[in-house]
Formats: sequence, structure tokens, C-alpha cells
Amino acid sequence: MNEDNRQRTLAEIRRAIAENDGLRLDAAVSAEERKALEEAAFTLRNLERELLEDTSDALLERLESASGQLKDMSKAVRTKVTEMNEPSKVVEHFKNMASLVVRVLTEVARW
Amino acid sequence: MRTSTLFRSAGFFLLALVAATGCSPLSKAQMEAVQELTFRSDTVSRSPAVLFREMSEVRLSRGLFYAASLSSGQMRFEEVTAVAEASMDDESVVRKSEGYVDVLNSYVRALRSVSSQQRWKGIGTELRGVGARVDSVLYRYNRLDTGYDDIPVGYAKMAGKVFAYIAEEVMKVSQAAAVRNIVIEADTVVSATCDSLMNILRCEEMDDLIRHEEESVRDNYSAYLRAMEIAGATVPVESDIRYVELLRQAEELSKIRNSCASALRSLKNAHSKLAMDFSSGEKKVADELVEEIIRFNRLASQVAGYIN
Repeated sequence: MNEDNRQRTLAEIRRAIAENDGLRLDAAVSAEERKALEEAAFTLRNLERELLEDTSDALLERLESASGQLKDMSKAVRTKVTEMNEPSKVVEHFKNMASLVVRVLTEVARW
Repeated sequence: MRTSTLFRSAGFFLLALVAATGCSPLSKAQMEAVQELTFRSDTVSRSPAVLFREMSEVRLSRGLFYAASLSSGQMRFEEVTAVAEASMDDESVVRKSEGYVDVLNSYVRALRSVSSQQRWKGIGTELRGVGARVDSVLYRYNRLDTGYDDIPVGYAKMAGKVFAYIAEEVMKVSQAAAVRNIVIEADTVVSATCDSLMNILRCEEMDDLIRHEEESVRDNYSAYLRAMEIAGATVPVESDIRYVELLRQAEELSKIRNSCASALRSLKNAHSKLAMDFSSGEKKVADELVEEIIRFNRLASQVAGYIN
């Protein structure tokens, strides 16, 4: 469904639903007529839902396309962040080893 | 090596280091500008997903009002079921859109992480810790009755502090170079992504969806009230309260959309200005950049206010 059709149709659907509601919510309408008009209302609402879904899907496709370019760049930056964390991790490892040696020496001193 | 020679060497090395750090590719103010820019960027870049979520909520509530205007039990059941199914489909749309816009968020978060002070403070803290631990090891060793002379204590802690300072300065320079390169390399793509998101926000389809929700809220509630009148039923005031909330929510869709589009433009401009300054070797933060970042933060706060 192309853009122009989608735009005209959403507005048209709103008008169609409103017109149908004008008829079905008339106090003078008989029970049978009201039942038929309510079925028509349900059909129109289904059409509205279908159009809304189509429009949303079209926007989603554009979002997907927009995000594609930046994906690789984000990955590269995250890799850089991981690399920058490495020196700290190495130093923390030595710090933990030194702590372990302190604990061992403390225990040895207790004997 | 004698202690005095050791200290002299360390002193010369420090002087050389201080001179080298003066040649950092970015100034402290520039690093802070990057942090400021990335602080609220995620609020703005999520905006298309937020709009989908807000529209979904309005659609569900007005759909229930409309269903209540149907007098036939069977029709009402079918309409409510269809509204529920559509709402679940809308949730799927929201999740997908959040996934797509998360890419810009991901870049912004990573840039924020790379430019954070923790990058260089962390290693300094660890090295000071190592120095202190080594001194503790020597102290414990000296307490043992090994028969050897005591090893002097205190130098390891001092060395830890010196190495910590050196490591921090080296990391600052390395971090500044990384941030500079990232911002320059990413600028074209960030600009293109912001342009695409702005176009999506301002496109006819988005316009149409927003207008449809604004008008349908009124139509659907009006149908509900007329149906209640025919049935002779009293409409509880809670329904009116809910309708007013929905009207406000629908009105805000346009405001969210417009604020987000403006904020994305600000983000794009500020990022481009940063990239330009970094490329030209400029160390000062220009007034235009400061204004752009302030404008961006104001718009992002506005968007956050609408969302929350």
C-alpha cells in the first residue's frame, strides 16, 4: 500500500467509522439495523487496525535501515572500551596476588 | 642502584611525562564537553520507540471505550479480543523499534564510557593499591624470624604512587586520542543516523499516525457516551477522567515528536562541531558548541519530562 493511499485511507476510515457510528448510535434505529451496523463497525475497525499495522511496519523498516550504518561503529567503540579496560585488569590481578601473599605470610607468622 | 640515583631518574622521567601530557590531543574542557553531550543522548535517541509506545497505549484505551459502545455482547467480545491482539502486535513493534534505536544509544553509551574519568582513575587506584600491598608483604616478611636483615618498608608504597601518577597521565593521553579518533571517524555516520531519525519523526506516516490517534480518541469516546445514553446507563466520572488523560497523552505525541526532532538536530550539530574542532587541533571549547550542548540538554530534559 503506497504512502498516498495509506494517508487518504486512514482519514477516510476515520470518516467512515464516524459516519457508521452516527447511524448505529441513533436512538430511532431498530435492533436488527443496529446489529448490522455494529457488524459494519467491527469490519471498519479491523480495516483501521490493518492500516495502522501497515503504516507502523513501513516506519519500522525505515528505522531498521537508519540504524544499520551505526552498528559497526558502535561495535568498534565497544571493542575500544574493552581494550582500555585491559591494563586495569592486569594491575588488579597483581594487586590480588600481593594480597594473597600477605595472607599467606600472615598465616606463616602465626605458626 | 642507589636510592638517590633512583629518585633522580624518577624525577627526570616525571618531568618528561608532564611535558608529554601537555601535548594531549584534547583538553580537559573538551573531554568534559563529550561527557556533557552523551549524558542525555539516550533519552532523545529512543524517541521513535517512545512514540510507538505512547500511541499503542492511547490506541488500547480508546479501543476499549469503542468496544463498550457496542450493544451486542458478541460484537463487544470480538472487538475487545481484536483490540487485545492489536495491542500485543503493537508491543512487538515497540520492542523492535527499541532494538533499532538502541544502536545510536549503544554508540553514545560507549563514547560516554571511553571518555569517562574512570578510564584513567581506575588504573591509578589499582597501582596505588599494589604499592600498598607490596609494602604489606614486606612488613609481614620482616615480622618473620628469617635471620636476614629487614627489607626497608615504605618505598613500594611511594613507588606505587609514582607509577600510579605516570599511568594516569599515560591513560589520559591515550584516552584523549581514542575519543578524538572515535568522534572524528563516527561523525559522518552519526550525522546520517540523526538525519534519518529526524526524517522518520517528521515524515507523513508519523504525522498521519499522530493525527489519527488525536482525532480517534475524541471519536471513540463520543461513541461510548452516545451508546451509554441510548442504554440509559450512567457514565462514571472515572471514564471522563480517563478520557481527559488520553486527550493529554494524544496531544503530547506531537510535542514529543517535535522536541525529539529538535534535540536530534542539536545532537548532530554538537557532535559535528566537536569533530571539526578535534580535526583542526583546536583545544578550546567554542561558545557555539557550549550553546548547542546546553540547547540539547534542555530539549532532552523536555523530552524526558513528556515521557515520564
